[in-house]
Parts: sequence; C-alpha cells; structure tokens
Amino acid sequence: MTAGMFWGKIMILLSKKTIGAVAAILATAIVSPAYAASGNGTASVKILRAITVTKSSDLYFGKILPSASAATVAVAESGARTCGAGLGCYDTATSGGFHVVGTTGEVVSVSLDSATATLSDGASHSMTVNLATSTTALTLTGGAGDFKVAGTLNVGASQADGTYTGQYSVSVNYQ
Amino acid sequence: MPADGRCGPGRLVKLFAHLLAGIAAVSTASAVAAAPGVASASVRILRPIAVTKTADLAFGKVLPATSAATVTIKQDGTRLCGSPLRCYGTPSAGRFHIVGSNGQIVCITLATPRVTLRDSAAHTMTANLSLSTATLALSGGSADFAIAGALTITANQAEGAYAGTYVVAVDYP
Repeated sequence: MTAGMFWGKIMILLSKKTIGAVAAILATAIVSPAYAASGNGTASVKILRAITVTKSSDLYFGKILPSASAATVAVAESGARTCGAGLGCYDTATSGGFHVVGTTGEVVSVSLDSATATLSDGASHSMTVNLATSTTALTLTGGAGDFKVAGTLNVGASQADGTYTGQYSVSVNYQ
Repeated sequence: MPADGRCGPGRLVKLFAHLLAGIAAVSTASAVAAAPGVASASVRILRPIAVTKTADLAFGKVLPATSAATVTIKQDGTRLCGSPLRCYGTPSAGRFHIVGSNGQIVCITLATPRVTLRDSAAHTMTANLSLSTATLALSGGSADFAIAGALTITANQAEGAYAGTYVVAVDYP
C-alpha cells in the first residue's frame, strides 16, 4: 500500500460521513419540526330513535247522574274522582295514560295539543272537558316513560242522558 | 395552497433550499476568512406552538329519516338541519386555541379532512371537515380558529352515540 492510496481512503470515508450527517439533518427537519404542534378534536352526533306514543288508558269519567244545576266532575292524574255537588257518580273513573318509547336517557317534552276537548253523544248534545297534565318533560329511563292526563268535565244542568265521547291529542318531542 | 404562498406543501422545498444555502455558505466562508469586513447575523427565536382544543365539533342530536340528508355545522356553530331530518340538542363548531410567538403567521392544516364517526356497534357515518382559515397571525401571541363540518346521515341511520377523532396541525411557515 502506498501513502497516496492511504490518504485516498481517508478522504472517501470523510465524504461518506459528511453525506450521512447532511441526510440526517434533512430527515430531522422534514419529519418532525420541533416547533410545530397538533391538536385532536372530537366530532360527535347522537342519532335518535323515532318516538312512539301509545295510549295506555282512556280518560274515563264514569257514569254520572246530572242534577238541575250545572256542576263538574274532576278526574285527577291518580284516577281519583271528585264528584261535583248535586251530581251522582258511579263506576270507576280512570285518568288518561300514555306510554312513550324513544332513545334511552333522552328527555322529551310533553304537551296537550289543546287544553279542552268536546264530548258528544252523537245527537247534538255536548259537554266540554278541561285537560291538564303535570308532565312537561319526561326522561326516557330505559328507553320508555309514562305520563297521565287529568280532566275536568263540565256537566250541564239536566244534561241529556247518553254516552258521550270525544278525542284529544298529545305531542311528545325530543328537545 | 393559500393565497399568501407561505403555507402548504411548497414550504418543504423551501426548507431544502435554506439548508442547502446554509451548507454552501459554510463551505465558502473559509475562502474569505482572511479578508476584513463587517457582516450582521440575526436569528428569530420562535416559541414552540401550543394547540389546545376549546370546543368539540358537535352535531347535536338527530332524528334520521327514510332518506339520506346532511347536517351542517357552520364555523360560527350554527346548524343547518337538512330536510327531512329533525335536529335537537346544542350544536357546536370545533374550536382550537393557538399560542406561539407574538406576531408570527402560522399555517393550519387539517390532517383528517374526512372523519369517520362510529358508534359502539360498528355503525359508521362520515363527516367532511373544513377550516375557518389556513393561515393565522398570532396577534398578542395567540389566536383561535374553528372547524366546520358536514355530516351525511344515511336513511334510517342506526340509533346510537357516534364519535370520531380528527387532527389539526399548526406550524410556522
């Protein structure tokens, strides 16, 4: 081996090392600049189940014997009936009941579409009912909930005998 | 590529150029070392950027329909509920707070412009995200930006709580 060849080898080694160092600097700068930053965010949505409302009981005032003066019959949400003075009340009254099914844990709003309903006997006699519910919001624990509707029936003086019926509707919605 | 040309893929090329120029300067410096002269050297030391999420992108609650439709959250957080969907709950745009060197411009990129939202039962939806801005000046050393999103709700989308993660990157140009 001559002296010239020896020095030649050293030069080659140095060059390789220099190239390696430059490559390392470039790689570091491109892959992860130390001054940059990133942040994570979450995108979310809750898909709800369509609400179904099923009537579980009709609002039933029972059988009533009218009197010579007007009076009221009230059925509370508990089903307890208050028979107005002068009236005779028979049979077992029930409050209106509704069963709501929807997404578990959601709170739904409850409202009566109208505060009154008209009961007719089909022969042009009628009475009005004032409706009420204490439930304005209902939590669907386990995906379901129930609420009641109370009513106060206005019985006219010497109200014509007959079977009177009417309809009312409720609205239940997510909020 | 933003209009100002300072952000975007092009800057990697610039980085190469700067490095090569620096190497060239070092290698030629020794040639003039013996000559007298005056030169100035300067450097701007930058503060590392910190990014903090201040609000998640929330589409709220949606009642799906028998046809597909889109729910859009705008950058101001307001929601457009595509017919015939019904939307409930409180929507929110995604929001991030950036802290860095006062007066510097930063580049913002959305690493995941499409994010998949999943529930716990392998149902998925896809949201397309967009940035309120791609460049931001750190006036007073900080700034905020928002993420808007459009979520396609397929017909009769399965009930459930869906979520997905997206990543934003903030860098000096």
